Amino acid sequence: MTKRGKIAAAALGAAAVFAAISFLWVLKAYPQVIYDLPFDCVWLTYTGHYCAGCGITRAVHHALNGQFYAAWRMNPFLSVVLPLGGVLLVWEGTRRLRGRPSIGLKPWMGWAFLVALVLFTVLRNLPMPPFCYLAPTAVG
Amino acid sequence: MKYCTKCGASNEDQARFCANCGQTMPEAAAPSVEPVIEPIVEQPQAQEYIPSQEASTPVREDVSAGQTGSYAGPVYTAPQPPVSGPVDSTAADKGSNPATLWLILNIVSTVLCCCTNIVSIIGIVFAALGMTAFNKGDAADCESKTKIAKIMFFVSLGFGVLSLIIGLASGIISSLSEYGSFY
Repeated sequence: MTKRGKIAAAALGAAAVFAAISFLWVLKAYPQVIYDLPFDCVWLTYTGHYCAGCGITRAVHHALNGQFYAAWRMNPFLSVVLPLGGVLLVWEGTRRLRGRPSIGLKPWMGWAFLVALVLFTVLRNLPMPPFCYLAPTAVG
Repeated sequence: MKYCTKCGASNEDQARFCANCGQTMPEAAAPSVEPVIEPIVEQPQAQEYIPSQEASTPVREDVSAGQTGSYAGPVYTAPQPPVSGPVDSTAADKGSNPATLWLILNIVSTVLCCCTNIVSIIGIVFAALGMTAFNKGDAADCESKTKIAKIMFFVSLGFGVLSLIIGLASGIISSLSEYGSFY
């Protein structure tokens, strides 16, 4: 990478970190930004079903305020996957920067994630317990 | 009767070249009663010697002019180029799979950019295929699939960030107009 490329990558990285921190700060501090959106989710509006990601923004808001159970009830699947993905990302990124081999992820893990995603989407839309507890639920 | 130092075939005493392999014959004729061949000493280019007989072993009694094609003396193997199979086991053993990073990134973007998670799902599929291709040693296939996974991630990220910015800006404007301030 040339010197100009390194500077551009560093500037892009700094901008991304700044944007991410700003975004998380808004999510943490101003819940009405989330709850008072002027439009609803297009998928939910037109299908009446929750997608796999439904509730993740509110879950992040709760998690940033230390309300982990509330975050869990908003989206239990992604409340696990997101921190796990973050850890894996930092781990893999660190190893790459140090020039070390990749972490030992296997291809079947990608397929397993997709199956779990579809399964979670179907189950959380079932109206009977215990599956209905997987739907986005406000607690407290 | 003298014997070729290369292939061991028997030749006439006057022969200057071996009738079987064309090797130049030594000027002096070898003793006909108990001839001795010394192929090992005279051929330093031989790479591998199967020690079925010692170098000083007398020539077999059954080697004659009519059996030049069935000589069963010391066996030499020609130098072989290194065998390179289709699997780059060295790279696979290292585990430096380029698709791993893009699998993780597409999973994270599936979570965060739910509006475009179909794009991320395609990215996950190609990242998993790329990892499989890497494990099979197909570097070119791995590279092409990883490239698609990379493109899917950036497309998903771009749309996701755009939708978040629009959503948050709309939310902020809506909140300000409704409450006058955030608190």
